[in-house]
Amino acid sequence: MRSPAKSKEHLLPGEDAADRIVHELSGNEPAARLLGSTGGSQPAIVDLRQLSCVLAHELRQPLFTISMANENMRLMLECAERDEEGMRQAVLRIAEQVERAQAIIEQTLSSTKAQHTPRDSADIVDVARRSADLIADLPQADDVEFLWQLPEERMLVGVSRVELEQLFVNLLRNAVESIADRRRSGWHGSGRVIVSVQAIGGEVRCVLLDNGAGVLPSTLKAVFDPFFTTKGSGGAGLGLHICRQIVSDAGGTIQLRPGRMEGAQVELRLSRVAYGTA
Amino acid sequence: MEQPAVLVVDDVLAIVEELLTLMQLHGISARGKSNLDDALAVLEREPGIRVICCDVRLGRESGLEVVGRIRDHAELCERAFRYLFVTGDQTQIDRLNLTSETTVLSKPVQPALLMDTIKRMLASTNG
Repeated sequence: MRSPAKSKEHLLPGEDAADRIVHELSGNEPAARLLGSTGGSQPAIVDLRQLSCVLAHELRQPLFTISMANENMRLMLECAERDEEGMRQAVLRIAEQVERAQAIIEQTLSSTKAQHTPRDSADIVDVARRSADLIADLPQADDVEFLWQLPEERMLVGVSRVELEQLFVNLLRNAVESIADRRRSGWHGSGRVIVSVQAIGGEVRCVLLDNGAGVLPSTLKAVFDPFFTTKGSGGAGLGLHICRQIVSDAGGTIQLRPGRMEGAQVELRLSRVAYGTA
Repeated sequence: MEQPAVLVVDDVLAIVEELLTLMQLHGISARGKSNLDDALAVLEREPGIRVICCDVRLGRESGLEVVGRIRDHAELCERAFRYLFVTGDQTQIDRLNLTSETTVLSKPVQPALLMDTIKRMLASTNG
């Protein structure tokens, strides 16, 4: 029943796994909005939840194939007359599908990495002001008031526009979802997110303050770790990790702490870049 | 060759091949195809097929369309099929409008569960 192994057998013509993942994301309404408007094949911003769903779907194909090839080999071993060729094919199939899964992971990682280059600069005030539009499709965002305390002047930081948008989308999404979490536990107050940006010496300080469910002191250490999530199966656990990566790459800092009265506060500090040096 | 009772439809060739091997090892005769056009052509030729095991995502096609295409087919609409949809996308399962003729399993399906399900579906179409 088997034919010789083909490395890209389950892909559409001209596609590889990373292309397919981008294609799947582009075809998804809420994700497409978050993908931004670069117009190229690389998405401007990746919705991590959508990405993880599509990636999981892609990885299930080789896993399913491996599972069946393994079962087929087990059944062949139990037969009185062993099908040596069939078993050899099953072993090759398993090895080929492991390779396939590794290729999917590597292509996805390299596709994501490409979004972090080249290093350039963007106006954090402008990106902050526009970032609420990027999460407007979140159903929970309807019941949240956004307050912007932004200076009139432009403030360049050494982070690309795409990365800054990714940063704000992740942080605002967390804030909005935290407010929704608090509501689910019976709270009926007005949801609010305050975003402020100010220059302090040669730095830009940006604070996002929400009145959501807050953050437990016991989880503060782990929140920036990859795959750490408090959202159960609904979270990829990569949002804050990527935020820290973006800020660290620019030589800045990011801190999450409980709000003074309620909710949580995220503070970003980034070096201010002078015009003409970017 | 024994008349096939199951049709496997999946755009992943490796999955089709392993599923056919698995069913052969369980003594079930089956055919495999990678798209809906070919699948319907097999159904027209093979009157013994009673169970259709179909991936939900078939490249740019939806495997779910097989139900409507059979319903609209002049001859195939007269036959009773059981549908087993297999998908790696949980969100698609949530959107499915399940009927008594339809079963859905989530990839990666345990082979034993898959075979139990197919055998049960075949048995139900005998009775």
